[in-house]
Amino acid sequence: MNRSRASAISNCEKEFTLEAIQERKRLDGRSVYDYRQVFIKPSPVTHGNVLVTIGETRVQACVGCEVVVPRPQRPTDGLLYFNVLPSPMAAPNYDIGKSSLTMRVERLLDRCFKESRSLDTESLCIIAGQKVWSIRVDIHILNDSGNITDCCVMASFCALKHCRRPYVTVSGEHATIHPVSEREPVPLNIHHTPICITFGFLSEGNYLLVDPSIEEEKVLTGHLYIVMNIHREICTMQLEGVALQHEEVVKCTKIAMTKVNELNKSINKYMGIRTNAKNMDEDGQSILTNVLKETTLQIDNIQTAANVQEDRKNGKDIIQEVQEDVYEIMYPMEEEPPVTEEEEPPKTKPRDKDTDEEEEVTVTLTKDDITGLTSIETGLTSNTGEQTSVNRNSNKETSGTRGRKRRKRK
Amino acid sequence: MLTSPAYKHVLYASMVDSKVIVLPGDAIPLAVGNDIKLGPGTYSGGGREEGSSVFVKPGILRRKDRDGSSSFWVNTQHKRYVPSEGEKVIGVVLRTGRVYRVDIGASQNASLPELAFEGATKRNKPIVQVGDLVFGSLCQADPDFEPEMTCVDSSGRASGMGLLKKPGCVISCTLSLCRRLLSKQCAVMEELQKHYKFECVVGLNGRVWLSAPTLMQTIIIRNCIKSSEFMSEDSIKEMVRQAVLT
Repeated sequence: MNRSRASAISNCEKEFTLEAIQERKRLDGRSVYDYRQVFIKPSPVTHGNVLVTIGETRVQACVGCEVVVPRPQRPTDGLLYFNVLPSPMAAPNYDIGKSSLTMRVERLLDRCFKESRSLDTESLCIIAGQKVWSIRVDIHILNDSGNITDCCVMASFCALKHCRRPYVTVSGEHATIHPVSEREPVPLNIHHTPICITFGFLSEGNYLLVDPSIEEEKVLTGHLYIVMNIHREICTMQLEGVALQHEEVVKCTKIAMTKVNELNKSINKYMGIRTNAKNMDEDGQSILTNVLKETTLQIDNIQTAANVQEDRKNGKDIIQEVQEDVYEIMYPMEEEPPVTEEEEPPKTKPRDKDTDEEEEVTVTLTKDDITGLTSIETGLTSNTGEQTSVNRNSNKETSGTRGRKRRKRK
Repeated sequence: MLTSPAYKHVLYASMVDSKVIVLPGDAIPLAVGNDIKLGPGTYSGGGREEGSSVFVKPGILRRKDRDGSSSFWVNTQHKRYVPSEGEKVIGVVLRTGRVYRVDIGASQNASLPELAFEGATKRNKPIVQVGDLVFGSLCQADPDFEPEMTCVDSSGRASGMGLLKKPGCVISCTLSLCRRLLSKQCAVMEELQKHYKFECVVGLNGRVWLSAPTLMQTIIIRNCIKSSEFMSEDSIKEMVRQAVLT
């Protein structure tokens, strides 16, 4: 693997690792297809701040968002950046700044999230051509113990999933960004879960390893990165350093399917319980009650925190009733087809004028009642207005589901 | 405040029980001389008088007395090696020539003259290739200079140092684990010695070279050593017992 500086490896280590792999043994006692233990820790305090560890490899991802002017070529698309920051403490051969490693990971992340449309960049639009959200994901590599790519992809996904951006209302030419204290911030629109699986190859692809450790990475000659989601759709793929036969790639894809399944389960396990991490007990039951708390909050806003606490105490009785809802919340991506996912967020995402009409009421209310809002004067000109409408039409043609959706509402 | 009488008192008290925590920037109220030596974690900017040296690492102050002189150093939880004079390290040869360039895991590579081996003369040089492992001591480790290694002691003998030619494996671990492995009552080493025959060289730069008769044994010993860092003595015994059974 390319590092910022060539890592010194002795002949002694090289021979030992090769010998072990040839005897189908791995230094940490795993078998060839085993993945290391994954642990994900979303921050209980800040949204969009997640620590992911694979074995000893540690990566922390933080998401930040700001309002910017979109690119003129794509006036309705929000921006999404990935920024990989290697810490010099991660490994002795790391240096600060860009290197071939960070460039490669950043490019892979771009393909994972933008080109496979995992994060809907159009939903980040506030006013077409004028204001869009720009999402920046900072990925700090804290410790490199092998397989940094998988860890970065997983950390980015979890951070984006965990992130909440401020609620925005748009009325004509005004957009109001509500402070977090005033309106509950909203999650980002994520359609599916891209999960990266790294395969390492030795001696022209004769030996294959899943999730190589740092010792193994030093002797590997080739890598194959497969990014796949839970629906078994390959988001992106990258092969370097080795030429593979067709059957071998298919075999890797099959292994990746099972691994993606496993990893998706652990992501759900850790991320599903994020909001109430403080009150967590241990397993299933408490997860259910926590999710129950969420559902009750969503269903009925009048309920106070005290009520919810009571509900949690009596949780066992209500669990049966809401179990279906709970299941939906825990596995939103598996259960909901993409069309319905579009349906849920419009109240939070005034993407264009279609949704504006519904929200105008709320805007007037907030403007009258509350002072000190961050409001943005936009001054929408007729020119850009035309541009938006044209773009919307073209969107209808290109993306089938969205077009269908709008027509239904009309 | 750092050189206050109270602090001095604490530091002198540490000579007895050595349980004092020091922080970077703390002044050392001792004059460096023949009877006082300062080791890793300290920096004396050339001055030898009292108070001119400071600690540069946070950790527990340790002390060792030998032949009427006492040396002080700081025990820290580090992964990155900072060279210190007189320490024995394991390096990887990166470039050969008259002076070998050796990677010792520090910010700079060390230099090792080709004549700094036992019995080496201009005609009779050791056979060293790029990628070879070498075990030697640092004879120069000033922070402002490039570190320099040697594989002979003051009397020109190898005394255990030199090239590590046997097949084996290298464990990279934290510096504190390395120091612990070298201490006389190291639980994991004592336990492993009971069950296995193996050769082991510990470098203070976070590298341990290990050679056992079979591959499987090497892997077992390697994993036992690596995981022993945060274990109690009892659980180390239990772990080694389990490892032997497998």
